[in-house]
Amino acid sequence: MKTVNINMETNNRKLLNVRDILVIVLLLGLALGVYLFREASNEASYAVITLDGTAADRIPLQINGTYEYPQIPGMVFTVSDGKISVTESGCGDKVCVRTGAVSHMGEAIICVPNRVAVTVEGSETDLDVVLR
Amino acid sequence: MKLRNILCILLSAATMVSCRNGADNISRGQGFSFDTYTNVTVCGENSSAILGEVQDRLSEISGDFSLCYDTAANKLPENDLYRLCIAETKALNRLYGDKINITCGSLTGLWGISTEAPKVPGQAEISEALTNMTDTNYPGNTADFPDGVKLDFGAVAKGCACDVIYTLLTGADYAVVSLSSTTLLYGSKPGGEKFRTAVTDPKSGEGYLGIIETDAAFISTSGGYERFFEADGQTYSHILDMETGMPVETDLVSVTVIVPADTPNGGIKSDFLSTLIYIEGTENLEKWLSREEIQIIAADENGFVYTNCGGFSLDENSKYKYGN
Repeated sequence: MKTVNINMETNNRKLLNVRDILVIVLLLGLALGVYLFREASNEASYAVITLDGTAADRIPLQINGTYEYPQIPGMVFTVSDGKISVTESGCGDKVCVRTGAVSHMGEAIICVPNRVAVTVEGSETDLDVVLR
Repeated sequence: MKLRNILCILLSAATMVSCRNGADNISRGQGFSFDTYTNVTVCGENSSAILGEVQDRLSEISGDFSLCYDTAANKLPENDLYRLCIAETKALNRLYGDKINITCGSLTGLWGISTEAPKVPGQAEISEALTNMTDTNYPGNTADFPDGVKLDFGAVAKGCACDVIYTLLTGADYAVVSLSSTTLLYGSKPGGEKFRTAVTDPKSGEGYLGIIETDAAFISTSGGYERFFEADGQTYSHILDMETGMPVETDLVSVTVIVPADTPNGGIKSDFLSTLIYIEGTENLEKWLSREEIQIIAADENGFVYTNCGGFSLDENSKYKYGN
């Protein structure tokens, strides 16, 4: 028994034992996970639909689809190939429909008559402002 | 061994935390004012109180300006905002000419371009509206305008608003006040980092013409691409010629003017000049580009960009080329 104890002590004095390596691998895995998650969320841009200055919805731009809201009658928002556009609107001037599709951070579609704004957020976070 | 593991975990936790953006004194708010979408960011100790003040003031100012649409000039209430805006526009008219005139309210009302139902008026109506304008030697107070004159601050309202908001921001480290086509970049960012402003691609309205890197400044953009309407197959811009009463014809599609933030009333100046340079077209551009106190980015209808702004870089994906 005494001999074994001594051997264990010798093992412990090694630079790394199995448990140490396990912990390191685990931490590296965790770091990689965090890195990949951050990369993915950088890619993931979304559009924020605002009604009267209050956010009504966040739409991911990775999946194609159309969106309609009961509180915004007559307006249809369409996501296609990572871009969002207003494809239908009951407003008079149709500035929102003519704006076309937006996809860059900070770009926006504004419908003044409906008091609706669509802003793209999340892909290039380094811009302060977009002039229109 | 245990101590080593704990150290390892602490170290990685510290790394993860430092990756997050630790800006907790930033306040941001969005809203509708000036017939558009506004976005205000304030950074500093009292950011949320300052933001609230800014937003309240913006809707007040916006309300004052939109009152002009349906009220004759001499029936408007007298207030400091109108006085400031009239005096500053008059001063700019003295310096740069009469192509912008704030007594054009009857004319812009006739076209109804920023309303839901724009229309092409008849020549007789246009002639009559033109007689309801004065020269640019405006009186100081709204009450002293002649009967029948209506004011339209459209060309300078957002710039004037930025000048008023500027005075509310003294407690902020930095702030970004975006009124869509006019922006105030206030103060300085941590580490002396430049403000980054994107200019919308005027041709497609999608993507950017380019990015401007600046210190604190007032920046305004004018162009015919955002607000216009079509009738009988013809496109009409929302910027009107004060002599003919018709939409301006220009070979520029977008003009951006940058005025340093320490310029007194720089907001109204950037707003006024972006509209003026847009109206004047490429013919007069050389003269403007040689001025040192303002920086200009002008895009013409042939896809060329003319600039004297060192901090501007064209977006690689835009179809524009430098013309100078």
